[in-house]
Amino acid sequence: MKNLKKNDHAAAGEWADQVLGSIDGMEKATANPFLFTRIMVQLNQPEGNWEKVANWISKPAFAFGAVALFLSINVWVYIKDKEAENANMAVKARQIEQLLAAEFSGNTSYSLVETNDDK
Amino acid sequence: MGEHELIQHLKSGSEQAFKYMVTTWQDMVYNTALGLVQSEMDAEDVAQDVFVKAWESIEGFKGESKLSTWLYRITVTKSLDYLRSRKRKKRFAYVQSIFGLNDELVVDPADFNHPGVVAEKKHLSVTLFKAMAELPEQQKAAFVLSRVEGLNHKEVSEVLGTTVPAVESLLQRAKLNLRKKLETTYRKDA
Repeated sequence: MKNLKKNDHAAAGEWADQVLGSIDGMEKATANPFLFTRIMVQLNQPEGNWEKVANWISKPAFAFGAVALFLSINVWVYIKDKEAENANMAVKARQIEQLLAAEFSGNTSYSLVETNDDK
Repeated sequence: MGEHELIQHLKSGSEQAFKYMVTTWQDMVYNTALGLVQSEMDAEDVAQDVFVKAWESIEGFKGESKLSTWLYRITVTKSLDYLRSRKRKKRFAYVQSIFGLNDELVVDPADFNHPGVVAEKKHLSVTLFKAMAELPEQQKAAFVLSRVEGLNHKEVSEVLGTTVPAVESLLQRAKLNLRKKLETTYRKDA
């Protein structure tokens, strides 16, 4: 059984060698003799509008520009959000300051917590 | 015409120089593309695209490498792009067929028979090209440049923009992968 497996392995290896060697000494393929004419036809074809757009979009500069714009918008939104949050915090802090000032200045008519006395 | 002179003429937009470039290197470009895309019609399209690209971007060619190396580089890039787009189209058609949007069958291209292989080895080379098609891109490119185009390791490294040891490693891995695939095929068929 072991010998059979060994033989099978050797045969597979031998066959793989034959296949790998099948392109040894192969000749090179030759191109269509009218290739130049075909190229010139392609080069002289007027570019359609969609092709122009596709060519423009496929340029790396466009991709980089789009990514830069996307990142800038994100940064701008983040900064604006932070600014608004800071302003909000400042207003809240001022309100708390005012409330505390009112509380400790002896003015008992206004307090942070509604007590039973107030009712 | 010397290469430097040819490049100058190409940069000045000479159609004669362009014709000279195409006729000189068309077989080299076609044979490389054929080894990679494994279809004569697709290889013709790729060869056409390669020369159009070369004509359009000759201004950017700095002459740091030989013109043939530059053309090889464009050929490899265009061929691999072509294979990627073929794979994408196949995947898209498959998804469409699942949703019933496309009734056409997704068929794999027929077995590739390279016209340069000697008659008695043709049936074996079909199996080899089938296995080559499944190699990772860089291994496939290195293997085709080395075995189908007959470039030495230094030339392959210049085309792929890498070092000679890296090319040797790519080729070694390519051979190992091919051997594994072929042995599996042998066992399946046996």
